[in-house]
Amino acid sequence: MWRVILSTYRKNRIGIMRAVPWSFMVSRVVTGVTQIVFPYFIYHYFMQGNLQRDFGKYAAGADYMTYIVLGSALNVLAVSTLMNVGRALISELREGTLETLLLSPASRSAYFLGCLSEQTMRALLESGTVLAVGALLGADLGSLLSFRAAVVIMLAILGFFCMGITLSSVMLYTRNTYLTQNTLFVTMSLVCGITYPVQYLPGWVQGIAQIFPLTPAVELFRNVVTGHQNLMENYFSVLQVVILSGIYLAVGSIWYMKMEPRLMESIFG
Amino acid sequence: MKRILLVVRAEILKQQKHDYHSPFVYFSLLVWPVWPVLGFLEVYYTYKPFEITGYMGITDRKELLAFLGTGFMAYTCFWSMIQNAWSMANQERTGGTLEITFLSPANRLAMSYGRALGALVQEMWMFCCFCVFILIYTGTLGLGNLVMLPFIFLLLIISSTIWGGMLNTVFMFSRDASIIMDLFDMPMTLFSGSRIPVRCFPQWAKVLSLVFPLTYCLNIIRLVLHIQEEGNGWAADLSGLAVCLSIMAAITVILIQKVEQHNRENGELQFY
Repeated sequence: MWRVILSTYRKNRIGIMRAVPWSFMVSRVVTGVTQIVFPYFIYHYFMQGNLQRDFGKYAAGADYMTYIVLGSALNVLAVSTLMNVGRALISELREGTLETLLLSPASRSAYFLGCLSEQTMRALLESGTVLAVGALLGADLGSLLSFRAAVVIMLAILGFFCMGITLSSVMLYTRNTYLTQNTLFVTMSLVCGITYPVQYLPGWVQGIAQIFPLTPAVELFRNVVTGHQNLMENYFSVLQVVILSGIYLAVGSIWYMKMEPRLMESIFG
Repeated sequence: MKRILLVVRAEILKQQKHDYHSPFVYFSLLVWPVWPVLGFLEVYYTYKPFEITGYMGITDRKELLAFLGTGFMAYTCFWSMIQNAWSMANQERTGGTLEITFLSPANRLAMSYGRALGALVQEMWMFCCFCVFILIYTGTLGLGNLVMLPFIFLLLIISSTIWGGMLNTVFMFSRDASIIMDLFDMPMTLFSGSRIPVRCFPQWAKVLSLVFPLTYCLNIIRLVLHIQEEGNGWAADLSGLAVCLSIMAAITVILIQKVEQHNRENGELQFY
């Protein structure tokens, strides 16, 4: 088990460092930074700080920039994890190495854990960059360095990882990455309350938002960092992330196990 | 000229053969505008926490919608060209056909523009959807403006093709060049006025906005549709656009020669 995790880690890391050392990281940092610079421009230059009163109510007292930066940092983490875990198998398929993987005795879960461990460091670096830029733009991130915040981040990564397993099956099934991933990511940043409170959205959309682990995770993250609450006060969000993770993990793995025999055939055939 | 058009046409056809292989693709094309619309809604909702004060000539939500709608439509045209140019350069590379394009006698510039123009079908579809949206929601489309639509469409196609062609040439330098796409895309969304009026920017940002052909296109489109009369009027914007596009075409020509030289020296027969 550990050997598979470690070798997957090394294989992926070497691949990225040799083939695409720049684009994999920079692109998501740029996306994250755009996501905070754009509201910053609206806030400072266009609307000149004219916030509606209900924003303060929804944001639980957080100031605008802090609100945006925390949301965006977690979104970057979500996108990286989903992208790297979700695309792992289909990339193997495209590069022609999936058959080797399928024939090897390595366990699939260890493979995915290897992918996760390889990407988590990069993802944390990416979202750390967003946080740093955010701090420069005036976000108040003082209470980010706490045990509670770290627990929330771990919980969030668990949720994104499990969703990534389902995503991986979807991609293998449709043989499509481009549309699937982009639709997912744009939907998530629309409905999960990244740059504005979900309360502004219509009720049914708020309902849809609850199927993404990002929604409770980002709420939890903000409550812990800017609201100084502890995890027990937010047990509902914690529970929601855990339950969603369970569902996504089950759906993704069962689907994949059903697909694998067919996959073998279609690759060799 | 005939030969150039032939190359462009062949390149577009090639891509359509490559991309449109299953019903799923047609389905995704049909729902494709949904995706920019989702992005558009995200931007619209980002404005939600703010009080609309009539600053910069936007007095209510409807005007904001029209402003963002035009911005997004034009931006999406540009974006889909770049995306197409990139994915094509990438597929040729991984598919091992990039070196064939270097061996062919076809005009390189035409090939480059053809690659960008592969997104033509999506773009036309997107444009039609946008027109319906503007018609129904914001009421900014009158009979007088209707005549201008083909002109707007042509303007967008030409400028986005030249932009996409230039980036396509850059993508051929390295398989890691997709970073360029992000580095160009972010300032373009921010400074071209597709989401925030350029007029409210500080001076340095205004100067930066002049680099992007999208800025001029948007000024012209909004002027024609009477959405927000930014910019310096017809003549100035059109000539600005012309200068900007000629510089880009010139850069493309130079880069094409360089990239071929570069790949002859550093590439192998199979580049990937």
